Amino acid sequence: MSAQSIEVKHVTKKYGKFKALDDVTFDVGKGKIYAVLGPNGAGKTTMFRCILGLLNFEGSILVDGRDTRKEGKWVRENIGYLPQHSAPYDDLSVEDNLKFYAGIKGVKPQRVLETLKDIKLVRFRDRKARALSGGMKQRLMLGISQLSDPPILILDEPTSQLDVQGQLRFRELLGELLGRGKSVIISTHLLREAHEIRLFKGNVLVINRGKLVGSGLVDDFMNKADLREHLLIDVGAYDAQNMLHAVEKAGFKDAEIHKGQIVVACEHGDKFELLKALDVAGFTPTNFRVDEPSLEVAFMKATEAP
Amino acid sequence: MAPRVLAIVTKEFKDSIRSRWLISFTVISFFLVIGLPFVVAYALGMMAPGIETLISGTTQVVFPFLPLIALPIGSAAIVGERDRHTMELLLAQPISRVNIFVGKFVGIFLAVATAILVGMGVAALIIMEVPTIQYFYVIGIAYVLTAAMLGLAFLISVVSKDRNMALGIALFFWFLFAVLIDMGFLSMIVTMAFDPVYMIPIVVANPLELVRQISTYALIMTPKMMANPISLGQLGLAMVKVFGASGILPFLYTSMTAWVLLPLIGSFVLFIRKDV
Repeated sequence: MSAQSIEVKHVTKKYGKFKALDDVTFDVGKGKIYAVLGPNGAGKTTMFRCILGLLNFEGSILVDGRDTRKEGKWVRENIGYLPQHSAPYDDLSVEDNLKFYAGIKGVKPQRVLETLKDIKLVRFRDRKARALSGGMKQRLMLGISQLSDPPILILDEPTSQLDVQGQLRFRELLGELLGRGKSVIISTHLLREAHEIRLFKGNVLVINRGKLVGSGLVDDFMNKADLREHLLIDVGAYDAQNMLHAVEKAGFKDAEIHKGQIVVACEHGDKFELLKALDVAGFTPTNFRVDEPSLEVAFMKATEAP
Repeated sequence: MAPRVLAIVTKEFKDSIRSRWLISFTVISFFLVIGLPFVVAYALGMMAPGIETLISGTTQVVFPFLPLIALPIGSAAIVGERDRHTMELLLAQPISRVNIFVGKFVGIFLAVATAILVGMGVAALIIMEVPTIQYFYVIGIAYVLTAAMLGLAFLISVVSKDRNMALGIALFFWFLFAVLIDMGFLSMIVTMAFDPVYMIPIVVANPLELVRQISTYALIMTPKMMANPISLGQLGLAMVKVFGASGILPFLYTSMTAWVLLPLIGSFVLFIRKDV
C-alpha cells in the first residue's frame, strides 16, 4: 500500500507539437485536499484525464501504487470523477441515471437511494435530467461520482453550475468527505475557491501552460502571491479622512482614499469585520464593492523569483 | 455477459427500441411483408403467393430499408455521447473501452434485430401460418446485413466530428447502396459497355446487393435453374464463369463476412485508440 494516493512523475502529454502537459511531477497525500489552480486551458483537465488512464502520455502515474496505464479499470474504480463539461443522460430520470452508473460501477442497488438522499434529490428522482436546473444537474453528477464511495475524488470545476446555496452545501460536503478520510482534488480557475480550500488546510498545485509552476500549502501560496482582496467603500456624506482613520484604527493599515472611495486591502474573511468596525465607529457604509485579484496576477506573483 | 457490460447493453437497447426510426421501420416492414407477396402474386396472375414470392418481395423491397434504419441509429452511438457531453463520464467508469464498444454494439443490434423479428417475422407468421426454414434464413440474412451496417455506422460515428455530420454520411451510404449502385441500373450500363465480369466488384462493393444475391442463390435458384443461362442472367453467368456454380455462395458469404468484420474492426480499433 503506497503512502501517497497519487504519484505523478514527469508526465508530458502532447497533441501534435503542442504540449498540453510538460514534465509535470507531484504527489497527492492520503486524506488531503488539493486545489489545482490554473486559467482555462492551462492543462488541469488533461492532467485529470491522464490520472484516470483516459489519455496516452509520457512519464508515469501511480494511484495507490498501481500504474494507471496498466490497471486503468482498478484506478477508475477507486477514483470518483466529476468532469467539467460532462452531463447526465437527459432522457433518463435522476434515479435511472444513478441506476445506470451503479450498474457500470458494480455497486449494490441500495446505494442509489442512499446517494439520492445524500444529494437531496429524492423528491426529484423521477424527473428527467433534462428538466433539472444547472445546480441540480451538478448535484446529480456529484452523486454519480460518489456512488461507489471511492477513496479518491477528482472534481473538475465542481461549483461552476452551483448557486450560492449549492456552494455552501458543497463546502459542507468537502468537510464530510475529508472527515471520512477521502483524498480530494479540485480544479478551479477561481481564487475564491482556493480560499475555501484554505479553510481545510489544503494544498495547492498551480498549473499554467501545461507546467506545474507552484505547489505547497494554500496559505503559503496566498501569502507569496499577495492575494488580498480590495474593498472599495463609498465615502458618501462622511468625511473621507475621518473614515480612513477609522479603517486604520480597526487594524487595516493598507488603506487609501481614491476617487471618493476608501480602498482597503484585506484578507478574504476580513471584509465583514471591517464593515462592522466602521459601523461601530459611526460610519455606516452606503455602498461598497469587492475587487478580487485575477488568477493571472496571482500566478505572476507566485512564480516570480524571490 | 458481465453485469457491467449488461448495463450498457440494456441502456442502448432501451434507447434504440424507443427510436421513432425503428418503430416506423417495424410498422412499414410488417405491412410490406404482408402486402407485397399478394401484390406480386396478383400481378403474375397467381391465386396465392408462394414462399419464393415472399422471399424475393422481402429482399427486394424490405431489405433496402434496413440500412436506412441501422446506419442512422448506429451513427449516433459514439459521436452522440460526445455531443451530449456524456462520453467522458462514461469512459471514466471502471469499465474498459472494449466493453463499452461491445455493449453499445450488442444493445443496438438487439434492438434492430427485435424490430426485424416483429416486423418481418410476425407478418410472415400471419401469411404462412407455419413459417418455413427458408424464411428464417431470410431473417438471418437481414441480421447479417444489420451487423454490417452497424459496423459501418460505428466507423462513421467514431470518425465524425458531430452527430449531424455522422447522420449525413450515414444517409449518403444508404443512398449509395440503395440507389447509386443499384444492380438493376448499373448492370445494364456495365453489360452494355464492358464484360459482365466487371459487375462482380460492384456486387461486392454493395452489401445490400450481396444479401440479395445470397438469398437468391441460397433459397431460390434450384440446380435446374442454375443450368439455365436465362434464369442465371448476365451477373450469374459471370459469377459461374469466375467461381464455378458451386463457388458462388462461398464467394458471396466471404464477401459479406468481410463487410461485417472490416468496418467493425476498424471502428473498434479507432475507438480504443482515440483520446477523449
